[in-house]
Amino acid sequence: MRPATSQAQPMASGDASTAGRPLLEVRDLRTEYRSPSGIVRAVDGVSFTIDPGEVLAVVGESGCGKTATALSILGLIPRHAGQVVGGQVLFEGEDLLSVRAERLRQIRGDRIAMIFQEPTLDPVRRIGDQISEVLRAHRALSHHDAWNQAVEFLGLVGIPRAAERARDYPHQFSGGMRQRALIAMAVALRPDLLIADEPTTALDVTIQAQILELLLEVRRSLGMAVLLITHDLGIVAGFAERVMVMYGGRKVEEAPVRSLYRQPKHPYTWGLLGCTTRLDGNRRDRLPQITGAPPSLISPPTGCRFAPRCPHAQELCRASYPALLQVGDRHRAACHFAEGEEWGSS
Amino acid sequence: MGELLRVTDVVKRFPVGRGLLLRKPTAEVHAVDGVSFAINSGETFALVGESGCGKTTTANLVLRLLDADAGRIEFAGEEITHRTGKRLRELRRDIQMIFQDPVASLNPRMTVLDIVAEPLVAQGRRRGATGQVAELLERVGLDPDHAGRYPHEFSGGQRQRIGIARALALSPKLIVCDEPVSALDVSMRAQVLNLLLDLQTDLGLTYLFISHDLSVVRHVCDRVGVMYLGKIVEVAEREQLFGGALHPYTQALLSAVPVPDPDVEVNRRRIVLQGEVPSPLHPPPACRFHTRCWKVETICRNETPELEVRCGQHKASCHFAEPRAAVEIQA
Repeated sequence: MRPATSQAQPMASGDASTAGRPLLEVRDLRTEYRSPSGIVRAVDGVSFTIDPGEVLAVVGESGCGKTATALSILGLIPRHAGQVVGGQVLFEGEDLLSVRAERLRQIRGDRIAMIFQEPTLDPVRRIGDQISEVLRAHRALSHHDAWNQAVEFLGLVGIPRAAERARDYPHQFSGGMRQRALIAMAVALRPDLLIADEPTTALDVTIQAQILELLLEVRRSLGMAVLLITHDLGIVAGFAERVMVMYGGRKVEEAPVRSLYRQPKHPYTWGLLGCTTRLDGNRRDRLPQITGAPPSLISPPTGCRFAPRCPHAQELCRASYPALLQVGDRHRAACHFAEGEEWGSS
Repeated sequence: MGELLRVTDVVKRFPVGRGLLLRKPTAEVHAVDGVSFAINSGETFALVGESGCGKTTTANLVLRLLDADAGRIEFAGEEITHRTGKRLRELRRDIQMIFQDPVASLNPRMTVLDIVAEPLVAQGRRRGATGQVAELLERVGLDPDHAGRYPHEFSGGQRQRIGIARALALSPKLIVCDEPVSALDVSMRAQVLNLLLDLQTDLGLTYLFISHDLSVVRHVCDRVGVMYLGKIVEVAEREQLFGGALHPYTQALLSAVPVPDPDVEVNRRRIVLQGEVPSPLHPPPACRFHTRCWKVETICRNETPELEVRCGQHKASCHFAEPRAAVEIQA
C-alpha cells in the first residue's frame, strides 16, 4: 500500500542501515513569527527524535513553542505569520524543509497526520464525505469504496451506527464525537506518525478519558508513533513513553517518562511538577509556585531563559545558555547545575 | 462561624424558542433543577461538574444576575431571592465575582485604575478611589505604579489578579469564583490559587468556587458539591469526597482526572464512562445518571434517589451508594 518512499530518500545520509534509525529527526529547528513589536523566536534551536511506534510528549506552557514546533514539522506555519528559518526535519531521512510542496503534500496526511485542539471540520459537508476525501486524495479509490472505508473507521473510533452517522454534518455531532471523527480522519491512511496537539483540552474530563483511551487503542492496533503536545502533566504520565519539556522556545529537558517524574533535573521541570494540582494531593494548603511569568520571545533573556524565575540562578546562568547535559539514561537537561545538584529531592 | 449563604430548592429553566413568527417556547432547558446547599462563613464551597451541569447558572442565581423560577436564596439570614432596587445594590457590595476569562472580563479600553475603581464609582464612592486602588493592587501582588496601564500589557495571571482586585474593591463577604484558573497556565494557576488562599486567611472571605477540575478543588476547598444535569448528586467535606466518593458519577469523574505520576497511572483502576451527557432539554427520568451508570438497575429508571445523608455530613443521591477512593490502585 505504501508509496515507494525508500527510493525517494537521499542516499547520502551516510548510515546505510535503516535499522535503529529514528522515524523523525528534528535538528536545530528555528522558527520565527512576525509581530508588530518585532520578531518572535518561537522555536529557537530545538532538536529531538521519535522512533517508529514511540509516543513522545512535548510539554510546556502557552508560548513555549510546542505548537510552533509541530506546525514547522508539517510546513504549516502560515506564510504571512512567520517561517522556519533554520534546521532540518528528517522524516525517514528525507528533509521535509527542503522537499517540493507536492512531495510534502504526499507525506502530510498519508504518512504524518495531525489532530488539533479544536475539532476542525468543514461545517457544510457530511462527515463521511470529509473522511472519504482524505482517502481519495492519497489512494486510488472509488467514491463508493472510500465511503465504505470511512464508515469502517468511524465505527473503529466508537461512533455508534456509523453507516448512518457518516451522513451527518459536524453540527449534529457532540464535541467528543467530532474529536472521534477527526481521529478517524487522521488514522484512516494508517500514518506512521500522528501529531496530536492538545487533542483533549477542549473536552470535558470524562470525554477526555474516552478520547485518550481511544488514541492509545488506535495507536496499539496501527502501531504508529505519536507526538503528543500538551500542557497537562497528568496526561503525559499515563500516555507517553518519553517526554520533552520546552520553555521559552527551547528544549530544557528530555527523559523517559518515569525518570522525568522521579528525578526531574531542570529547575523548571521541578517547579512545574511541584505546582501542578494533584487529585492525590495531601491537604488544603499553599502550592509551591514558580514566581514571575514566561519570558518574551522577542527579546529573550541572555543566558538561560529560565534564570529570571529560577530560585537557584547564579551569575553563570544569566551570562551563558547552558548546554544540554547527559544526566542519566536517555535523560538530558539544559541546566548549568543539573549534575551538581539533586533538583528532585528535598 | 455562622451560615452565610443558604440555597434551598432553586430551579432555573430556560425556554427554547422555535418558529419564526410567534416564537413560542417549545421546550425548556432544565439548567438547575432543585439545588440546595449552604456555605458557612469563612469556608470555600465548590460546585463541580462538566459543561452544562448547571454550576455556572447556580452561581448566577446566587449573584442575582439571574432570577430563580422557584426556591429560596438567603444571604446572612436575609431572603434575597426577589430583592430589587436599592437593597439589591447594597447586596452587590457583599457578593462579588471573579470570572473565568481574564481577557474577556476586563474592558480593553479601560486602564487598570478605572477597572478596579469601577465598583467603587458604581456605589458612589469616587472620593479616595485612587488611593484604594493602589492598596488593592498591592494586596493582589501587582505594582501600584502600573495602574495607568491597559489590560493587554499584562500576562494572563496578572490579568486575573486585576479581576481579583476589582472583586475585592467593595470588601465583599462572599466571592463567587467561576473557573478562576481554568484559562491559566500551570505556573500561573498555582500563583492565583495561592493568592485566593492568602486573601481568605487575611480577609476572612467566603468562596463559592465553580470548577470542572477536581485536582484544583482538592487544593482549595473545604466542602464540595458535585452536579450532574442540573442536580447536586453528592455533597461532602473534602476528605470524605476524595477518600471515598459515594455516587457513581463522582467516582467516574474522579477516576477520569489524570494524576501526574506514571507509576500511579499505569496501575490505576479506571472507570471510563460510556456515552455522553444527555441533553438537558429532556433529562432522563428518575436517576438522571442511569443512562451512563454501570450500576444501573430497574429501580434507577423508576425511582428518583433522594440526596440523603449517608454518614456525618456526607450526602449522596444513589440507590447503590458505596465508597470508592479517588485514586484506586490495582492490587
